[in-house]
Amino acid sequence: MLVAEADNSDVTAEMSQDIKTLIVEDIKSNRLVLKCILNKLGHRVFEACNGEEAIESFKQVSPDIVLMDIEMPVLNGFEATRKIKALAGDHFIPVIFLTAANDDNIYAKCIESGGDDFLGKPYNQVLLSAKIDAMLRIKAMHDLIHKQKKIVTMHEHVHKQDLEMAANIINKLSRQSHLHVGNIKYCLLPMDLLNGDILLSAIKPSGEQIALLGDFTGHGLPAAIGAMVVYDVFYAMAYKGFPLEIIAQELNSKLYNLLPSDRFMAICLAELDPQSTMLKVWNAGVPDVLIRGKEQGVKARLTSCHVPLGILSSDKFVVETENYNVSMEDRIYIVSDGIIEARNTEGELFGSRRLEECFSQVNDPAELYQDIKSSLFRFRGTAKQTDDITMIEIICDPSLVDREQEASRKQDTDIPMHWRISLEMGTDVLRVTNPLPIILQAVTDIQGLSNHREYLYTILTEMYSNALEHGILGLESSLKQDSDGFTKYYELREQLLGDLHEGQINLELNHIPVVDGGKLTIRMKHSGKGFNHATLLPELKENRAASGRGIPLIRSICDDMRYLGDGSELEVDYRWEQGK
Amino acid sequence: MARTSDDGKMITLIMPERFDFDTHTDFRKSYKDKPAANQYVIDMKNTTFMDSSALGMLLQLRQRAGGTNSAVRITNADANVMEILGIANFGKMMIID
Repeated sequence: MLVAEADNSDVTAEMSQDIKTLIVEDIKSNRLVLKCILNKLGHRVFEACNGEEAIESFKQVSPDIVLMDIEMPVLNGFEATRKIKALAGDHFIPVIFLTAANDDNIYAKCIESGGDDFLGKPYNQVLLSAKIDAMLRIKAMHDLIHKQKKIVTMHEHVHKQDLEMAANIINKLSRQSHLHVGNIKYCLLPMDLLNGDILLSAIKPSGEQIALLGDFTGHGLPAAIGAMVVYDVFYAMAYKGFPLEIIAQELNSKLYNLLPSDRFMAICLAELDPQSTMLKVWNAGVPDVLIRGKEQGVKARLTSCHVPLGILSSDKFVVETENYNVSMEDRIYIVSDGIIEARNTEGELFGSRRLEECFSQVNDPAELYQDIKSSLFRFRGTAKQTDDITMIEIICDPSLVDREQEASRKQDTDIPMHWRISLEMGTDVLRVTNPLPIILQAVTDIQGLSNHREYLYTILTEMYSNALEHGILGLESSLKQDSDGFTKYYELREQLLGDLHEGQINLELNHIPVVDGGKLTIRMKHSGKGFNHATLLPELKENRAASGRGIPLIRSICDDMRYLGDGSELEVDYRWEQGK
Repeated sequence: MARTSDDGKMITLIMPERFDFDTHTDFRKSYKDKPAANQYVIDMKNTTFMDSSALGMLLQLRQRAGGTNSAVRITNADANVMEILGIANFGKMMIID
């Protein structure tokens, strides 16, 4: 800073005023000559006449530079230099040897004992001054580095404390995690203090076991902050019994709004029904989910079919799960890419091929999990870990999972009651919001019915789309015939919805107790044109209409369905039985 | 890194051998101070390695070019790169030749 940029002469003049120089020389006349030269240069001069005095003087005076003779009584220059350099420690105190001998061996010994330069006799003022300048420049640079190092160390310390605090918070959050159940084995090996991968599991009130594996772009604090949001949303929704698709949607929405455009989270959601016969998987950006049966080899692969979370806005986000029938001997393996992309000392990738080889080579499925881990560590050898490593094994055996205990987390109100919810949605609501999840939540909070959540949500969604798209926006579902038409339909929908300036939907949910359970009547009325429902109904009954799939779907779930008035009002009955 | 077409509407960027976090500064510099093009062509002929931060950079670029599926076009990707783009299903967000 000071030394590198400033003009030499200015620097020298400025520095000379403050310089303390220690002369170590037994011959008085030589000492005087040097003292004279140094005084002229503006130094403050201190003297010692042997090595031992030099050390004492060094301790008392703390000189900036030392001129050291070699041949002295009591203690010679080499020994004195060694001791002085040791005392100086981290600080750079240059030592210039004074020697008459023109001997390379002596010169070498000077440097070896810690000296930085040497000056021959007779003493030359110009040369001495130049050498002193050079030494002081080096010293200034050294001091600067030393100061900067202290600042960096302090920052590192603070940063480490921040990370430790974040890690503590995440640990507390992850204690809710139901990874310690009988049918799950897992490993979480983060690369750093904060894991960029997430692994969560929960048992829903209706008994499904749902697992989430997430992999954030990047590591450290940004990933940890995203992770906290995911924990929160996942557990809140899983324990309330939300369907997998809705959880995915909400996670995407939150991450889309929270994360910058270059950050996202690859995710895999997997759900096993309580009898462990049906596996539902949604893989958006993680390696193939592998299934192993009794036989050696990979029984099935479930490949990523969607972009990771946080990339698409809610309106473009569509979840289509893959369903797979499993049996009790089947095991599901979900990994993050840290395993696939692990490298050995030769730079080779572990790869999906080696991973799947474990499936083929291990005879007893019970040993597969451990074998995968061993193979990976054997392969990696001494090479450094370059990414978080996460793996989970889920055994599809319902007897291993204590569902009773888990399900009692949320007490369901099984007693049917009288209640009614009425909601009027004006134009601004229709344009901007989808109120259905909140409605569904209200229904669940009042009456439980978490087993029926999926059906109720389907009914509400189909009725709402129908009312909004056909009733108010006037869209014809015949547009959705082909794949092109599908896109056009949704583009048109977006456009019409954006331009909407009048329109209203009324929703009423009416619940009463009946024999052995309850009956929920849902009525939705829109302010658009009605239609001649009397003629249309037979067609729908026979499912002859190619589009308009929603109405037959509602019909199949509900106990009864009817159009009222001019056709702009649709009412359905949904019955439920206690204990089901 | 950049090479502009005649009308300035299409810009081609040639990616380095390692397209990862360290590429970030160069990548942004190559399009930041120029007006947004209609399409960015990402030439991966030299690229042998790509990580998730590279995917993030592509998304950012896509947003800059209007956020449509034709905003970014990826060409000359090798098998490794195609696999990464495949798992992330980026074929649904941009054109991959």
